[in-house]
Amino acid sequence: MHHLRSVFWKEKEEKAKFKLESKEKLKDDKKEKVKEEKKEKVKEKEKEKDKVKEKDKEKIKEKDKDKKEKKLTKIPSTVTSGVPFEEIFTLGVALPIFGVPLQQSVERARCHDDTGLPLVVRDSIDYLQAHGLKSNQIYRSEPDKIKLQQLRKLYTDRGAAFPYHWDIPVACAILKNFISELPESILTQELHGQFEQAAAIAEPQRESAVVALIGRLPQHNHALVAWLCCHLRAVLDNEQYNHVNIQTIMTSLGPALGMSQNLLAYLIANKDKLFPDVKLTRYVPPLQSLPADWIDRASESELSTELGKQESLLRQIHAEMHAGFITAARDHQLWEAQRIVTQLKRKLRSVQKSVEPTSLPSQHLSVDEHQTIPSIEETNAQTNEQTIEQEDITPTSQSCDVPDVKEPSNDPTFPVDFESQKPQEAVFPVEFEDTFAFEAKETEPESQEKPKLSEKELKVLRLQLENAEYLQLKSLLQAKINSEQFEIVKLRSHVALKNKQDNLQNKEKDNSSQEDQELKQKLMKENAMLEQKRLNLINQIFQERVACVQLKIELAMNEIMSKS
Amino acid sequence: MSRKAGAQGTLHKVIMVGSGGVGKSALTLQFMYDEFVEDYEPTKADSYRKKVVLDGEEVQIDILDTAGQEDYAAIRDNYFRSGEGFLCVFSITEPESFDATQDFREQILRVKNDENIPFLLVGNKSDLADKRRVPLDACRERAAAWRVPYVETSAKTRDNVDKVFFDLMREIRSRKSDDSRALNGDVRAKKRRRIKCAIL
Ligand SMILES: Nc1nc2c(ncn2[C@@H]2O[C@H](COP(=O)(O)OP(=O)(O)O)[C@@H](O)[C@H]2O)c(=O)[nH]1
Ligand SMILES: [Mg+2]
Repeated sequence: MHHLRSVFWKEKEEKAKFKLESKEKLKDDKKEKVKEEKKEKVKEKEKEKDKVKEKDKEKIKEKDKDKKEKKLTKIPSTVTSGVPFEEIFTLGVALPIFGVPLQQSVERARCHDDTGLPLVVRDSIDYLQAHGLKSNQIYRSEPDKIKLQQLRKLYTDRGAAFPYHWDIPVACAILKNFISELPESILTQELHGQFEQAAAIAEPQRESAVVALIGRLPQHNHALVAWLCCHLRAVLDNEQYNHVNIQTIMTSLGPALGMSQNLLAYLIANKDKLFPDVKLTRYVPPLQSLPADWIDRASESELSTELGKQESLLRQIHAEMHAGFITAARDHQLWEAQRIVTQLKRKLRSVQKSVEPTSLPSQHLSVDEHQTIPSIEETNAQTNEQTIEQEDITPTSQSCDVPDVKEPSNDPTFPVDFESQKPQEAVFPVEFEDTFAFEAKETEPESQEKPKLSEKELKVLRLQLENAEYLQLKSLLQAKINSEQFEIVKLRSHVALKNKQDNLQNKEKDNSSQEDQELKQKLMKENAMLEQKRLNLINQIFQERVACVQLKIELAMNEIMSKS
Repeated sequence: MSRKAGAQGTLHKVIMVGSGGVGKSALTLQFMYDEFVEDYEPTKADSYRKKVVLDGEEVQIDILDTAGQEDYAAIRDNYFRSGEGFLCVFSITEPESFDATQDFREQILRVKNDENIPFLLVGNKSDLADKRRVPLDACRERAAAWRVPYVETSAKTRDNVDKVFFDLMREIRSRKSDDSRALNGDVRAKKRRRIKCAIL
């Protein structure tokens, strides 16, 4: 029985780790309220039930919904059924991500890797790093206001942004907006002044003073400052192409940052010394579903990286539901993410067990596991980023990586058995010297029995098939994107025209301009909502496409297998 | 989701509830993978999907294996809400776990707000007959009071493991067809709902 007791202790510990956020209690209160409201609603429903027949009730509900919409938009809504309205209209309103403390913004919409950055910040920096460094628009051109609004709305509503939502001025602007709307300096209220002072003193004291201050930054501020400085450094390093110098950056970002040019220039120029561990990497979001045999082909570090992301996503979904945002779509997402987590955990466990020298007492094993997995997600921006260097998540590139996955892991959060190889790689034993890999080879006789050549050939074949399929898919999607972009250009010119007309009218009479503005706002809301719906559909279609590709490949492989 | 449900038949969402250590995970893993795990690893929440043939029809079952502990209540409600059927498990060797089924039942009814939610009371560890401490009569009585089926299982010997999942899926299935009939204004289904309201 004392076994059981230790078990409970363990479960408690686990619980503590899983606690959603520090504001648990506050949220609980909220939940109670929601519950009460629900009870009320139920009572109402009950009354209704007695009065009207089931069918009629449905209709009434629909009408009520319509009424609500009309109240919100005051224009006839084109959307009527099956849409999580409340969510689209209020998640962003109830849990905004702009204009709230950094910590809160990260909790609400983070990138689910270990950088601890708000998603919108990461995406804008990613975009600028990929497309903006050599452009003469970067930190100089004014954004298209409508496009900026749209992108902002998208992030506020936790929608998915597509490439055509972005351009360089918009990316700069949304990043700038995010920073300038933070309630306090990115260096924190407390430390900002000290930073300014430290930057003003002479070397050699200056560096140690600034380093010490950076060490005192909260995790999320540290990440944001570090990423921003690394990014701005990359911008300045490309001055010969983009003609941006520190003055340009000061003009653009100075007011948002509230820093002196001296301090900003110092942070940027010395980013290597000040943020030695930070390396800009492109964000790879958590997988929405595990592709056919991804889990069998992924390396251990890929598995645990993905697990960390999925658990982070899961926490976010729970937090959103906890705040009362419950929809069928979110329910679905919850089960889906939970299932992926379970699959990843099982796989990781079996990988770890298969390389275990002798079967340890189960107690130890599970303790290890519980300590290991959360520690991965807890690693913050200070730890290096080697786990997410991989740029592309398509199965193609994944399996290309297989032979050289061995990266000597210095990450202290990885226990010894994480460093050993996954069984598959035992096929290339020459590269390894550690005993674990050797044992892995022994415990995996299957892979040795199989003829090496044909397995490799098959792999190559599969890759080729995949490549062809994905190329085809790519060109198809590109065509679609092109036509979408054309449509956007067209519509934007319409909008621009209307704006001009509006402006003319504005000059004439002020009263109607107020109304126009309101109408415009409402139209924009409506559009964003439709946009969101469309994006969801596109996303679904895309997933189905990928599934089709996988099935096609499976078919082709089967055919080939049966022939040979 | 709709993709999978569309392509591979209906999806039934089942949730395992009960105190810690009664064998929820063991039952799930036995059903999913024909394996029995001797060691006890506390669950937070795990979700599984399996394709099965239910009375000749290919369907999918999503199983959510939850933690028994109170502290998970917050995340558990999120799951309960979307569950379509529940296996409420206790261990026949542990009276406390039998008592706890009352709470679980209440929680589920509170979240689902439906007396007729597909639900099975499951007495697990039937292989440990010599350590039995919950009398069969008491189990049957409670099940009768709730008007739910009672089944005894052993995750160790696999006894009745398939049965509880399949029985529950059948209940969910018939419930779903009732619901769709209710939407079409079927009289019988409506009557049943009335009864439910009266009870509440
Ligand atoms: N003898 C016996 N042991 C069982 C049975 N089901 C579960 N166990 C054991 O009971 C312990 C707890 O089981 P577990 O499935 O983890 O419980 P959970 O907390 O409800 O998920 C484990 O040590 C299992 O091996 C059973 O049917 N018979
Ligand atoms: Mg369990």
